[in-house]
Amino acid sequence: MLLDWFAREGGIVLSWWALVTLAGAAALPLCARVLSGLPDRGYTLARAAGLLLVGFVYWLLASLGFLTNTTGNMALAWAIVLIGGVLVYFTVGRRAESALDWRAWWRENRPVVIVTEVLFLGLLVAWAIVRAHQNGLLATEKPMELAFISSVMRSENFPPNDPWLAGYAISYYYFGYVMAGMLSMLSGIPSTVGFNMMVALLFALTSVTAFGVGYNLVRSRAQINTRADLPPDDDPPQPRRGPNRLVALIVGLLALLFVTIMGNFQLALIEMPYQTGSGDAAYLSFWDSNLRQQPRVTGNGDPAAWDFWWWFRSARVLNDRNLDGSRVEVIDEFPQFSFLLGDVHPHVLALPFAVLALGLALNVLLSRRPPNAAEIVFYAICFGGLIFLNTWDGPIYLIALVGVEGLRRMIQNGGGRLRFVDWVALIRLGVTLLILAVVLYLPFWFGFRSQLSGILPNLLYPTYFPQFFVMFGPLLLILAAFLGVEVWRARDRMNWRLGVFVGGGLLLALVLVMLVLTVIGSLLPQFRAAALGFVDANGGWGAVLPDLLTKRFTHGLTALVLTIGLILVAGRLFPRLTAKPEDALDSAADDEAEPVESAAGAGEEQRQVVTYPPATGFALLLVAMGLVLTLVPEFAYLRDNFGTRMNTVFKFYYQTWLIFSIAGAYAVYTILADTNLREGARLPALPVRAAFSIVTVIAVTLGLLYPILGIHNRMFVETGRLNTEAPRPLTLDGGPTYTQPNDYLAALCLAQTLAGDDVVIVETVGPSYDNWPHGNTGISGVLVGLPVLLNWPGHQSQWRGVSYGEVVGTREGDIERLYSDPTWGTTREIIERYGIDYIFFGATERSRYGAASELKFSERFEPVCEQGESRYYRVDERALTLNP
Amino acid sequence: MQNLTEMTETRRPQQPTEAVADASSTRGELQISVEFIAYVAIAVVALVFRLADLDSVPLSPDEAREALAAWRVVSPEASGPLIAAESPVRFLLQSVMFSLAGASELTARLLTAIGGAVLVLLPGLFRRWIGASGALIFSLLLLISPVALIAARFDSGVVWSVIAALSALWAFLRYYEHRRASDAVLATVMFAALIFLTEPGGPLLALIVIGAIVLGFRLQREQADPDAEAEAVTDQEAADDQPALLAGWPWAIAFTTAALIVFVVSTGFMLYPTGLSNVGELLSGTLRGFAETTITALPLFPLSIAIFYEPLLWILGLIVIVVRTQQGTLSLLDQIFIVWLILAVLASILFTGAEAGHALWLIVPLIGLAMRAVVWLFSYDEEDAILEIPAWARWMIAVLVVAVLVGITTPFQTVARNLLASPDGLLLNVNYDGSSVVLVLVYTAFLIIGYFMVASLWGNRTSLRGVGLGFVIFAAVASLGAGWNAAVVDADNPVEPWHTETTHRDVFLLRDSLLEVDQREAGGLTLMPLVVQAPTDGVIAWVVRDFPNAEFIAVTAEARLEPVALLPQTPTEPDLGAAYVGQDFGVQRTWAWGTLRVIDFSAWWSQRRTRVAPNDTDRAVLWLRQDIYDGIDPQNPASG
Repeated sequence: MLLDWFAREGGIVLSWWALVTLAGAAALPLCARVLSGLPDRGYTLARAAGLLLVGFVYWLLASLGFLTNTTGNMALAWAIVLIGGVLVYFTVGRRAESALDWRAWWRENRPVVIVTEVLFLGLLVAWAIVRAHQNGLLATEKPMELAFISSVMRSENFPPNDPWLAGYAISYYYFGYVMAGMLSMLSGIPSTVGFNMMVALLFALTSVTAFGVGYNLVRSRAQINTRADLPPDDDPPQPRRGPNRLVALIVGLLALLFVTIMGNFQLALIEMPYQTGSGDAAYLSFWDSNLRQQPRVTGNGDPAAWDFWWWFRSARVLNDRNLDGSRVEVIDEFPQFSFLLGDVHPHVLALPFAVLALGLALNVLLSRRPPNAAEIVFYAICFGGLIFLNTWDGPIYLIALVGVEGLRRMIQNGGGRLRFVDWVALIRLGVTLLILAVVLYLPFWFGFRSQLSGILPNLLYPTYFPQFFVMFGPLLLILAAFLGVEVWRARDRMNWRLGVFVGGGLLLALVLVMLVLTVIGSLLPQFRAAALGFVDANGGWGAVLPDLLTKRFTHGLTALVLTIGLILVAGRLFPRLTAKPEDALDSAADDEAEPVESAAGAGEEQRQVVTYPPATGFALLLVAMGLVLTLVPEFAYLRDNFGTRMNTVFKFYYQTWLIFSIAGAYAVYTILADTNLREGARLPALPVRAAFSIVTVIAVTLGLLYPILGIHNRMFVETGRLNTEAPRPLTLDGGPTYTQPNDYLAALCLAQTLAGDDVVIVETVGPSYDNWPHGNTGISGVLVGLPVLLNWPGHQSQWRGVSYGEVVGTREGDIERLYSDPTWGTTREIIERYGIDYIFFGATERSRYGAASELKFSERFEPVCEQGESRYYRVDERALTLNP
Repeated sequence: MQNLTEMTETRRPQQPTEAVADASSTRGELQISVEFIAYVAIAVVALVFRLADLDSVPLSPDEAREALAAWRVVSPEASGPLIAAESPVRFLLQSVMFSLAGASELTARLLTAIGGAVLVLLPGLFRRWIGASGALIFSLLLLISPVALIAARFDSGVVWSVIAALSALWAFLRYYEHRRASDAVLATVMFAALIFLTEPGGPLLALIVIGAIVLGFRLQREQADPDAEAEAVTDQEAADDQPALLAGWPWAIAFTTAALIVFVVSTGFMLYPTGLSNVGELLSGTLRGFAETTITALPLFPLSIAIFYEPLLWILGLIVIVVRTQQGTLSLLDQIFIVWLILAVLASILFTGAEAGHALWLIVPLIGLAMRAVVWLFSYDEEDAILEIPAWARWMIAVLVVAVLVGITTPFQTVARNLLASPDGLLLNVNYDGSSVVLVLVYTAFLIIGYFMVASLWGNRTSLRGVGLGFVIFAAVASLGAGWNAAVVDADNPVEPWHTETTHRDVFLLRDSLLEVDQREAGGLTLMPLVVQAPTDGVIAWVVRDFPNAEFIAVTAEARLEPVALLPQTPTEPDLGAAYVGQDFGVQRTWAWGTLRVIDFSAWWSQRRTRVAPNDTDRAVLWLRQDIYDGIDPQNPASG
């Protein structure tokens, strides 16, 4: 069956491999120049960078009106990226004339190149096989995502049409859908195939990029150990003794494993005991996981017999409870869950590029100089692209980039602290990147409306630490050991005072923010009313306040652990002062453009010394980021349509998983195999390393249970392939799974009949997440990208924010009347008001309004596409006026 | 035999040619030399052949598409959607012409036809490397080339791509000589134009030319012949003292200038920003060209066209390659042209979507090589004086050869028709016209025997020269005739191998009919309502280009009750909801070369006669509602 599938659809997989590889090839000259700090000069990041750059150039030129949405123009964008990269390669840099010695580079990087290519192709094919088994496009938000891809492919110009709000452009961060649409168009496949291929691509691309970051992080240790190893000028770094390539490759693979494959502890600690019946009520209630409070009536050791979608619970570990004990949903996804689910939601689409951003940050660190203009523009394009992919990611990785530049400055100036001039430079860098990102993506900003409308205090929902442990368990264990080892290595350099100051200060600041927001909220009428109503409903202030405080204390362990972690990181990153002048290192000017105050030892009696290698500093900074990202939602969250911290936790925890994974892979290396430590530093004792190894292996193994069982379940159990002798053929085309066959074929007919996208189609309006066979709506938009008048109004409300009412108006009600009102005059008036060109009458319309309601259309209009009882009626203006 | 090498007039850079020296010594004064007059004459003839009757031939489907792309931008009220053109430079030129002079077959083709004339004159740029005589002969051969003529008259973008390629080559050679930044910038701009502005085959031609330059220089270095080194563009010492070629290239300014030029040209000086999409369409066409094939095109289409229309060129070119290779006297430009030719043959195999005009990829380097032979044929041989061979000897031989060839033409064609008339295509069953067969044999024998007789009298070399001259002269006339026939007389005949699908001349009648109806209905303002069921970018769309109320429909049902409808011909009469009167018109014709038998080849080659006639693959019917046909004014039923 696999061979048959490969014979039929293998070309599609290979074409996507070729397209993304070509995009990477176009970006290689640019990467070789602007990512010169990385040991592999950006080779492992080139695919992600290339796809982003080509997508950016194409989108920008199309949005500015220079290009139409065609495959030829995509090729032009590719050519522009290639030519631009070649130009940068030859003209940028202090020694632009000294081109890279490609032969030497090949000798040095041959293994990583080969491994990268094998990984990418292998993982792409592997996950394509997974999606060919489980190609469904129903459920969750797949219809919405597919509609965006279809619309991008169908739209003749940018911004693309909103497939579910005819007459308007998409108001969403749709960059990822542009990429998916581009690749689908270039490979000549419909969106229903492109959707599944995009899932496979994201899996492979994220994996390879994570592998690259991990590899470069460790391989850089062969170049730079401490600042003392820095050559006096800007010569290219020479390989020194340090981790060999095999070690770096293994760490890269670990990073890949942690980021994209490993799961959390939910399956091992909660799901399995629940499903098998081995966990009793006390055990299960300890974790307080939703729907898993009591063991199953009949336990079963065969995963095939477990509850439907049991694997979904791993993304619902956190379980916020109101004071009355009712549950508030919180989403806590991680990448493997996303790939298993198979959605191409923005947070998944942004994954490879979030990893790329970490790679860029690493390049900043290893470049040993401030970013030049070309690098800043490149970073801004990537960072801005992140905002356009998944807005929440943008600020996070901007901070990461600026933070790493701060780290670089601190390491290079040798003082262990940032000077005033450094702070100025950092602010300037951050502002420059922000401004550039906004300017470069201006067309997006013009049309974007967000549902975000402020920050709210989190008074009610501190995270229960066991749930936090279940969520991040494998990585927490590794990183805890990492911090412990680093503290041990720091010895008397460990700056406890500063650490407590930073960690405690941040905690205090967050508490203050929470309290200030509470006070502000109490002053605003709408919030005060809601708060008073809540208090009344929960027994008055006398009951609420003690409950709140109690909850903070009983659930305060999470915040405490995170704060301790921050203390350790800060204490290690900013070493304690020593009294030994001979420890001082000459400070070389690291910023050619601005005067640098001399940091030489003259006049100073005490000097701080950074004692960790830059790569370790990078990992520590990542840990700090992750800790902060998970600490913030304990006290505040972003206000959106949901009104809870669900989305904030969702977005922040997702990035935390990514960040912790990279840091975790490095941690394994530096604890077990770091033989390139500075004099005085050392590996932990053998028993410690052995214990760490055992714990790590156990933790990772438990985490790997998730993908093993989950993939099997999705591929074979859910699809029924396990128990059938004649399973249906594998295919990446999930189109027929979306709706019933006649509707599906009628939509395809319409797509082939019509030219262009300038049409208005009306279908009945469906609520969010409507599923066939109960009813599928917005079919024209979902399957072929032709805009319908309105669908999923709930999501439209999220996308349009405050402008929703003004934009949508009375569409929903009008559409209802169009179908249900027997009066032709009403129908005609609605048709004329919205300029409707085609009316769809399919299975959902028939089930809602009855077959009789079709008569008024069939009597006046000719069906342009008809399949069974599903019809698209063409609105004939002549018939409209001649048949009152 | 005099060494062909001596006839090349390449010079070291420090020793300009005589013509150049003459020009430099009398700078500021107008010099009218014979060469100048020759070029003027070439230009005039080139223009005449390329411009005459330009509007007598309907646009082909490809031409129509490109013209509509420009027309709909220039004329916003034009019916139909905007189209992306595959050739940005043609888009710009046609936009300018349509803005100035409206849309017609003439204005659609005019500037490319003039470009074709410019192409003929372009060899003059290479005078310093191939000599004045060589450049002139090069131009003459381009003038008579049927491929160049047809391509120019049919608005082929390949004309512009070859112009860009030759210009780029010229600029690069100048840069290599003088290392001036301006030459490098020009070369970059020309290559960028070739890749992004000309036509879908442009990127491939760019690769060919770049490959030819790289390999040509490499081969030149490996050739250790001192004479060849003397022809080298620069001294080795001078080359050692100069910076490396790529390192000295002004990348930043060259790329920036090139990008600017591409942007400005494609967007029509920023008047049409979406014009940048035409560059994308060009690249899309390039990619499609590797995957798509035209069923009605000959296999290895450009190569087949080049051989079919210019067989003598191949013979001369190959002779030059063999002889000069044996003598080790290939110049740099010869090496470049040889590699170019080889790569172009390879491209013909790989680029399956090539058009007939891409035969220019092969013709240009072939001419560059064959030029050596023709120069030799025409040049005065001092050895003749020593051997007391009269100067008019070879000319007399040439005249005789021409006479024989003229004489053999008619009986040959008769025999060819006899072969075609064979009922079953078997040689044995051919009913030959005996006298024609005899005449062919006699003329052939005369040619052969005559050659040996003359050779015994004046020597082999003179005889060869004379015969060669005769063939060249005959071929020149025949080529012009073949080109004119293909471009004008047989423009709608798909049997002509150049044309994969031709537009029926009926489309002129169709347009006249529409204009007549419009005269009656809308006073000649082309405002009458009209529905058209046809591709929005095809020949029919071009016919109705200036009917702003023309509406393109997808299905026949949408034409119900419309006053005027232009629909595809169907086996049964469509139901339009009322009484209609229809007139059908031919739109497109094709011919399947697969029906050609070996025995039919001679008739096909010499007279374009075939066993299986072409057929109309597309016919349209103009339907007029009865009242429109009767000329009844709905407001005044008594009219009509």
